[in-house]
Formats: sequence, C-alpha cells, structure tokens
Amino acid sequence: MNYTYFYKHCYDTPSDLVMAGVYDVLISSYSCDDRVSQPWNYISSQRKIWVVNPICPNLDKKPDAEEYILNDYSSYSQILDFVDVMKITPSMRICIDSTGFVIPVLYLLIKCFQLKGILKFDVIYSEPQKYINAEGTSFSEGCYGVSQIIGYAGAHVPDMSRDLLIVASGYDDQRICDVANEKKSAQKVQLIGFPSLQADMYQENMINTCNAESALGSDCLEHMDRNIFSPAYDPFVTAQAICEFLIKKQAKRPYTNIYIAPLSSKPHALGIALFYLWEQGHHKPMSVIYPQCKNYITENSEGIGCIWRYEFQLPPYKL
Amino acid sequence: MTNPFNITKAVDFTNEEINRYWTNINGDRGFIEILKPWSLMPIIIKGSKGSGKTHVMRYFSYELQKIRYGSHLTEGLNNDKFLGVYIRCSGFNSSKFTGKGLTEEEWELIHQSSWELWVGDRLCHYLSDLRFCGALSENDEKTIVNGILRLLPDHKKWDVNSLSDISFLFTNLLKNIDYEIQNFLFRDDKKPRFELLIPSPRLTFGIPNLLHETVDFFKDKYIMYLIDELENFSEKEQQLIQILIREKPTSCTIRVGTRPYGIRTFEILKAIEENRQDSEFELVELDDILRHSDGYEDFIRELCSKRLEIYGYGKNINIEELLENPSYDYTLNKILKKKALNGKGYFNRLRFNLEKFCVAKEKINEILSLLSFDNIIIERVNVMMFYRRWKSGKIKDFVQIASSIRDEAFTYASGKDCESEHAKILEKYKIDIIDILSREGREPQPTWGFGKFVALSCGTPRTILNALKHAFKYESFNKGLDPFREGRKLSVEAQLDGVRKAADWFFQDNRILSEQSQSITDSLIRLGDYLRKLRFSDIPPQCSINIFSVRKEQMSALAKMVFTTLINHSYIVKAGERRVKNSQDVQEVYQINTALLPRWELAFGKRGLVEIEDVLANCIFEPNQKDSYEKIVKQKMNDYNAPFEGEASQSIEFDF
Repeated sequence: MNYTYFYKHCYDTPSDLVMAGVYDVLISSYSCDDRVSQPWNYISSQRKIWVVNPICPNLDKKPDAEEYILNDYSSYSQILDFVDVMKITPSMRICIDSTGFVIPVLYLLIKCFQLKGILKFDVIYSEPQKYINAEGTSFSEGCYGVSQIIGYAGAHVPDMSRDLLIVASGYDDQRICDVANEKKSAQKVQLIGFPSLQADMYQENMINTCNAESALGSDCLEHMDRNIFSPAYDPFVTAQAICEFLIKKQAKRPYTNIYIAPLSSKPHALGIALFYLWEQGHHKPMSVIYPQCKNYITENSEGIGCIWRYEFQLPPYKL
Repeated sequence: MTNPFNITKAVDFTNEEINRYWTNINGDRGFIEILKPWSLMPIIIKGSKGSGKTHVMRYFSYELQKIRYGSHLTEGLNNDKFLGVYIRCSGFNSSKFTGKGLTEEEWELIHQSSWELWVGDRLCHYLSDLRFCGALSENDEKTIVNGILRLLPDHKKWDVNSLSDISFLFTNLLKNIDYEIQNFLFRDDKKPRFELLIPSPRLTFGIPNLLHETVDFFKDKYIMYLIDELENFSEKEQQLIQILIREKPTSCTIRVGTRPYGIRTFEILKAIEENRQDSEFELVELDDILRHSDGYEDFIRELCSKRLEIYGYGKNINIEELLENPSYDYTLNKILKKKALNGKGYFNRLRFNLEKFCVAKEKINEILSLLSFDNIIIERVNVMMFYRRWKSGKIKDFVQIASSIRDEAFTYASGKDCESEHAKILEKYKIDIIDILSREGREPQPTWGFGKFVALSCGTPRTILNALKHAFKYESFNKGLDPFREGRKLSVEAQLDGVRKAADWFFQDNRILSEQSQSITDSLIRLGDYLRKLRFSDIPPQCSINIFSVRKEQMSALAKMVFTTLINHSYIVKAGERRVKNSQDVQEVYQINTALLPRWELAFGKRGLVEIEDVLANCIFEPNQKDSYEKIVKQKMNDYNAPFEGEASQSIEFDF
C-alpha cells in the first residue's frame, strides 16, 4: 500500500473551491472562524449540514442549514447514528470540511463512514495564515485524562518491553506531556510537520515541543533524525511516512504495543486515521490515543492560507 | 559529549541500566528494608513523581533478578526466596472498561478476566524462562501446565503442552477480550463475544498455590506481585487489587506502587469491607522517608557518583566538588559593584516610603546618610530596624531613630555584641538579609552548591537529576566544553539555570489532570505569592519564611479539596508539626515543595511559621477568588510595609 498515490488538490482561495464540483452533502463543524465559514459559502452542495457543539460561541451567526447537534464530544453513540439520522448513503458525493472539527469527533465520523460502507469521500482542510498568539496559542484546556479513541483502539498485549508512542507534536506542549506521561514506559518518537503550514510555524512548533522534553525524553529532541518528518499539510505522505518508519524499525524486532497521538495539524491527524484504518489497526496491538479536555479551542487563527481537498478512500470494514 | 544526567526516569532505563545505576540508601538495608521482600504482608508504596518507586520495584522484578544473578540464577532465587512479577497498570488502558451499554457487573468480570490473563501470561512467561534456564525440569513443566489448565473453565479444549504455549494462549485470550471490548459496538447486535472470562483470583492466586504445592523449586519460595502505577485504575478496578491484598495466600505477596493521589479506595468489591493500614497492608510513604532520612544526602552523592563513573569521569567522584560553591560574598560583591541606584534598592524604597509619608527631602537625605554603613549587611539591618521602629511608633522623630540605629551599628561592628538588636536580627535573619539584598540588587537568590541542590530535591531524586541535567547542558552549550573534565566545575550561572529549569519541569511534569487544573495551580501561585510578599516586606513577620499552617477543618469544602489535591500532587508537602502559640495544641505544618521555592524566592530552611487565617486560606485555595485574595492581602501587608497605615494595621511583636 502506497498512500502517496491518493489524490489531493490545492486551492489558493476559498472561491476556487467551486472547481471541486457539486457535492450531494457537505458536512462541516460550525465555528465562526473564516477558515470554516468561507469554504462553506463557496463549496457547491445540494445539502449542507452543520455539526454543532452547543457551547460553541457565536452560534447566532451560524448560517441556516441542516444541523446535527452533539451534546458532548464523548457521546460516540450520537456520532455513530449520524449517518442514519442524516440519511447519508454510499452513492452520494460527500465532502467533509475537517477544519472546524475536533479530532475525536472527526475520527469517529470517518469510522462511522467506513462502517456504513461510505468508502470514498472528499476532505477539505483550510490552512491558517497564522495562529493568533504564535507559539503561545492555546488549543485546549482542562485536560482530565488520556484515552483511546473509540474505533481506533486495538488489542494490546501484556508484554510492554518494547512499546512505542508516536506523538504527532504540535503547539500544545501540555497535551504532549499528558500523552507522553500516560505512556511513560513507551519509547517516544515524534511525528513533526516539516514543511510546516507556514514558514515560521516549524520554529514555533519546536519551541513548544522543547517544553515537553522532560515527558518526551531527551532522545527524540537531541537526535532529531530518529523522528518522523512529513509535510504538515499532507495526510497521505504522513500515512506513508508512518508506514515506512514502522516497517524499517520492526524489521529485526516488532514493537510490542504501538500508540499514536495526533496532536499536531489536522492533515497529520487525517493521515494517522487513514493509516490506522488501512492497516486494520483494530486487529493489532495499536491504538490512537488522545487527551480528553474540558474545552477544545478551534478559533485560534487568523487568515486563510491554502485550501486542500483530499480524496479519501477507505478499506471495507472487517470485524 | 554525553550528559551523564540525561536520563532522569526509571522508565527510560533498560533493565540492564536499572541494574547498573542501582544505588541503595544507607541505613539498615536501605530500599530493601522499604520493600521488605522477605515479608508476606502486602505493602503499598506511595511516592510522588520522581521519588524512585518504579526504580525500586523494577529492581525486585524477575527481569532484574535474572540480570543480577546471571548464570547463578537458581542460587540467586534460592537466596531471594521470591520471584518478582512486575505489572504496570498503565498497560491495561483501563478507560476502556466502562460504558458502551454494558452493566457494571459485566465490566467487573471483563476487567477481572483481563487482569487474570495478564498476570497469567506474565507468570507463565517467567516460568517458561526458568524452564529454559534449567531451574525447572520437564516434569515440573508438565505438572504446571496441567495444573494451570485445570484452573481454566473448559480446560480440555485447550491444546497446550508447554509453558510458552500457555503464555501464548493467555496472550491470545487477552487480545480477544481487548478486541471485543473495542469493537463490539460496531456489530449489529452490539454484543461482545468473549472466548473466555475468568473471575479473580483464579490465576493470580491459583498459579502461586500450584507452584508452592507441586513444584520442588517453589516449595520455599513465593511469588511477589509488583503492581505499579495503581493510579491508572479507576475506583472500581482498584477494588480488585484491594481484594487481592486482603485474600492473598501465603504462596504470594503483593507490593503496590502508586502516586499519593492514586489510591481511590481501600474497599473490596461491592464495598463489603475495607482494608486497613497495619492490618491488611503496610503503607510506605517513600518521599517522606527519603526527605527525613539521614542517609539521603549520601544517597544522592552516591547516585551521582555512579553516573559519573559510568560516563567515564572516574571512580568515587564526589559531585559536591564539581559544583562551584562560592560564599555569600560572591553575591554581595556583585551587588556592590552595581551602581548605587540599582545596587541599593532598599535605600530607594526607603526614600520612596518616606516621601509617601511626607517627610521632607533634606530629612530623608539625612536619614539615609545616618543609616549608611560600610558593611552592606549591617546597612541593610539598619534599614530593617528603622522600619521596625517606625512601625512601633514609640519615637516619632525619624532622624532620631536613624541616629540611634547608627550608634548601635557602630557599637555592634566594633564588638559584635551578642545582646544587641543587630546581633539578634542577624542571628535569625542573616539568610533572609542576603536573599533580600539579592532581590533588591536584582541578583538571583544564592541557590547553588550541593547542599542547596539536595534541599531543593525535597526527597525526590528526579528533581536533583533534572537540575544537574540542565546545569550540565547550560554549561556545555555556553562553553563548548565538558563541564566536569580538566578540573572544571559547574559554574554558578549553570547551577542557577538548572534550578530554574527544575522548577519549570516540576510544574510542567506534575500537572494535575483535572478540568480544574488551572484553578488549582492558581491557588498554589497565590500561596507562593503571599509568602513571598511576607518574606520581602519591609518588616517580615518571621525569619526564613517557608512553612505555613492552615486550619483545614475550618476551610470551605472547595478550599479543602484544592488544598488536598495540591498535597496529593506534592505541590505542597507536610513539614512536621508545631505547637500552637499559647496553647497545648499541635498543628500540622506545610511547605511548598522545595523544588518550587526558587520560583517565589522563598527560604530553604524551615524556621518561621506563617499562620494563615481561615478567611485568607479560603481566598487562597478556593477557585476564582483572585479579587478577594488581592483585597485581603493588600490590607494585611499594611502591617508589614511602610507606611504601616490602613484599617488592618496592628502592632507586631517580634521574637527576632
């Protein structure tokens, strides 16, 4: 499997999204960020559905459209019901704007699609021009635990002698510490976004990652070549990079348990999800873990950079 | 150039490294005395992050026994009389054992089964290794395999012939449970289908009993379960461990490692009964033991010495000799070198306070001139005495106050009269005076030298390793040279950087996983801020402000919860007891973790106790009380800061 064969398209402005064609359904998670509202306006679709978090600010400014209200992010059953409730079928041309989604919800939505046989769909992602507080930008607050994401949890083994944690390291150094401390006995490897979304974001990212050194261990900061690098905007190269890393490292001796934490860019998170689903991670001792937080902050950027459209294909689900 | 202090966590060590870096603490048998492997009484070891409990527990695991004894494994185990089975609770990913439409009872059995298969797998894995090493015979293996199969429901259907087969079987059964838990929701019927469920303690106790009764090698030995990271189990899951503690047979014993906040219950399943300390188990508070151990300083010395030896610096190197440790004159000279404006901030402040009190400019100049002295320490004491006399109000003439202080200063300087006020203040406040001078002169507080590093660590070896790691890094980066070679030492600047980074690390690494984590940390910041304000006030109420007391029983429920959380996460530690003034009562005394003291420039020695009143305690520890806190503290500080005005201003009696 070579994930780099998947197609992706880049648009300079939101208005160029009309070139993507007409969809049957557009699904977006509401946020008043321009990165969410502008693509919403320009993508052509017969139906447009907002996935709404009731505590999201500025809900009164939300354009009228179909809504699916999530009572809380941990309510997996609501997300699992989404496809049936909103009557989405595999024959439809579907687009998900991933930009405003929080990771656990996005992941479960993709899993839900796989379960329902919706194996081909487009995913949109709009890059920010900058984060409002540069390296000081907050992305979450009030973390109360780290757990496996439903649908992305494998069957683990008691032998923990060679566990691996791949941390897709983003700006949120506190969350990096939280996941690294959760799996403290595991060897840590970072997945770093390079090239970054914008030129200075790599440095901002590294400043924050260094704050998590005590949890990550000095090894993955002092020996940068031991980490995985992939473009922060490319889920397919990300999936491929993880795949190649694991093949190489497990050539002599397999890892006992593998954990992956998608804490960096949305395309990185999409790549991890893609990799997991194609690798049938649920049959392996491999899980995606994520911090559970009181609040995930999605409105923390300014401007719109490039907009990407990724053509996702998933394998059929095998129980 | 490799940093000998790079690795600070036991989990980052391989088994070989645990063995190589192992350092025991002096006194009786050291850590062996703490873990008491010869005792069948279960022990719960509470230790904060970095206290060394994982290190100690892993040391007694089978993996380390094997490394320690090498080709003499059988003799070694005969000597030890136990086989250590190390189990890490974090591997269970225990957040999965909840919800998903299953009942509590169903989850109880599933969790128990996971536990049994996990323990069974580990134990069979070690037994298989013993068979491979020749400690167990072929007959022994057959006996054990058949005996274990009889413990399983439907044992006849399992086609296993060896211990490694059984270990493999258990791994697969466990994987089946894990798989079903994670994926049954995606079935149409949403029902899990488990191959096998085993209630506790079928294998946990069954296998040790079987070994003890039927295998010669184990007739005089027992299994020691080393259950680490208990804080990763929920309350319900911990009830299983409490049952194991309560009902364990003589063929095995249990050691449980947990963070102070990690014990959620002592109740056994269905809350029928509760385990009690010294009845069902012993409780060991590891960092408390280390903090108060006479051997702690030598232990740290030995720990560092071992690392330096492994990294090729030579044998028996004393880390103390590798750290620059100038006297206080180093700081004082730096302050004196600064221009008067920056160097003598206390005079600037005094001028400002007198101006606020509408004292004429000429008088202020006269006062400052009278208080000036050749010796900067005596000069600063003069200023403190001036403030005290201003506060007392017995003499209203400031020039007269300054003049008499000047005379007393000369008398003291010429004869060092022990009964003079100067002498008494210096006896109690000298360290404070130096720290105050540092702060006022914009110099860092003198936090260098091995003694200070040991004090900083607060019984947690990882803190000192972190400080040394960052100090080494700072020095090697700035000078491009190995700090410990060719007679070099870690400079004061490097040590200060190490101390700063260790404090930052503590905050970052010890973060409380809670929705209210930010407000809980804010409480700590308010506490530190208040103690700092007192310490650096014009007339500090106590010397070496560091320890404090609160009346926990008078706190609001919310404040108490926050306070207890801070203690459980070792941000605040217990610092003994003190007798309440003018009373027979004894109260508990607390201290901010010494790793964090430099953050608020607090003293290291435990001397002057600050009693925090109930109202203030609630303002400090209740969330969202910032405004109330600031209002109360502002009023309180009128007692300690010139011009000593305001409603709350009261007279203060100093015991020097």
